[in-house]
Amino acid sequence: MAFDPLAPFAARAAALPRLGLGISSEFGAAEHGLDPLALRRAHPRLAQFLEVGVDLERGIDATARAWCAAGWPTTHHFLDANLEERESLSDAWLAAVRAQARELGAAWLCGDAGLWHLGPRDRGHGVLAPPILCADSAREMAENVWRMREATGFEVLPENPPAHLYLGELHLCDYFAQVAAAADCGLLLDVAHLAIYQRASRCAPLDGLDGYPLERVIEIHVAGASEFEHAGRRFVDDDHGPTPLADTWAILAHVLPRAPRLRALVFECERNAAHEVLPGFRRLERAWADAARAA
Amino acid sequence: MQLDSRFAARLAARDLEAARSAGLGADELALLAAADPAALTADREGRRRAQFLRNVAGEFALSLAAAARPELAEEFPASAELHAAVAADGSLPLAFALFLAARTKTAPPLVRALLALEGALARLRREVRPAVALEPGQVALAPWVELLAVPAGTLAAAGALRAALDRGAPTPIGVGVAEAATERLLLRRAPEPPPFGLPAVEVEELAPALAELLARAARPLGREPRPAGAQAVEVAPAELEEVVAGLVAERVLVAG
Repeated sequence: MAFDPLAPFAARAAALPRLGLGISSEFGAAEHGLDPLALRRAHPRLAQFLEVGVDLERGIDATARAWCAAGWPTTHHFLDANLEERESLSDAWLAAVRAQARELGAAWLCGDAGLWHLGPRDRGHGVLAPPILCADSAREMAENVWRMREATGFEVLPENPPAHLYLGELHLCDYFAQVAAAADCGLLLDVAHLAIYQRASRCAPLDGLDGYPLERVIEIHVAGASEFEHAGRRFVDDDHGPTPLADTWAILAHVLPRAPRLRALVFECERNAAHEVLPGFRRLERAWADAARAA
Repeated sequence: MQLDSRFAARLAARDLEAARSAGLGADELALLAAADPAALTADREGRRRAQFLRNVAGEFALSLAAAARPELAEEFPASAELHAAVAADGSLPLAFALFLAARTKTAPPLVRALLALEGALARLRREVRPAVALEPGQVALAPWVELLAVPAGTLAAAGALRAALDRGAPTPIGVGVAEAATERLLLRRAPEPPPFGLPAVEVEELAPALAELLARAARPLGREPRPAGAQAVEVAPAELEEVVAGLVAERVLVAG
């Protein structure tokens, strides 16, 4: 079944491939961290696809090009768009992203939904800030997701971003529920980011998930993180270390059996050595298999 | 707010002047004032702040090395230059250049010379002069080219300092500039830069006669005034036309 960006979500989701377990990358990350190509060759079941973190300034690095040349699956994770701001998604940016995603042979587009640049898209302007969690912002983001999907011809999965501070009256899960409903889109749920949000917002790990449309989750991210203390409180740093927090595993265990359209599970661990991350990959593999059996 | 704790405190106290400076309305101010101050300033080991400063100051490595004041860049997040750029959606690296210029007015000549060079390069990467309409026979400096006059020895000092930084040698090194004399530089970037990202830029020192000719071409230069220009730069008129044709071919000049 061919993917039709104008079709309703259920039809579009049915046309998306099941990618399995994957690994993330960013420009040049393999030079100092995990080599996805070596991991794929040594453990093909643990690195079935590569999520290519990419911006238009730096482009596609040699590792991602080699992965594509081998004919292995990819997804395109943008790192330079403010999904909350229409002006960030210029026609030139959309056209360039479409070309880049086609070059990668990406199965879909995804990325942290918020602000990747403060003001112009320039050096020194890179930030990763969350959206204002309110209905107006959710509406604007939904319009941008819809527009990006139609302009690029790819499914666009907004991802809940990490932060220590979120402004606005909505719970993060309710915000993305509104985005998904208004954009009729799939979602990327980063369970590590959600754990960070819950901690920063003084919520329990599973709070708000009853309002989150798990039936729209196409992709899940898991990553390690580190706790640190500041001003008498404990926060969580999204450092992509090899060891996910217990809260992250708890959220994953809740979500996996309730996400019937899940196509891809990424372990974001690109800055670590292979031996440090293999236990995490194996645990994810088991968790997904167990959830599938239970479902 | 996350980079400037004093400004964050002013917003938390509902300081209307601070809100006005950032273009915030009443609702936005209320939202920010209610933000958890601990969450607002949470930044593990200052990593986010350090990364911001690395990125925004990256084009001014020579000026900062020559200034030998590590705390200088640290003061940028609280500066009026940063706040003005944020409020106007302006370029933060260009705001950093203004910030450095304001704080190095009494610095040694080498620091000011390097900042003039790095600031001009940063502007050229981002800003293009509008093309002027030329009549047939006229030439003018291309929009992607700039001329810069700096103290003699600036380009050589920049090269020496760059090499020292690249090999990890301690700075400052024993280089200086001579303010009594001037060298004139040609800065240029690709005429059609990539649509995303910053274009590469090149710098070369100009011979005095060529610098004089290019300075005259800052405004459209017709055929008629060129013989007088030839006299000024001490070449024969016919030879000057060859030079002009060569500069047009190299896209330093554009022709009508």
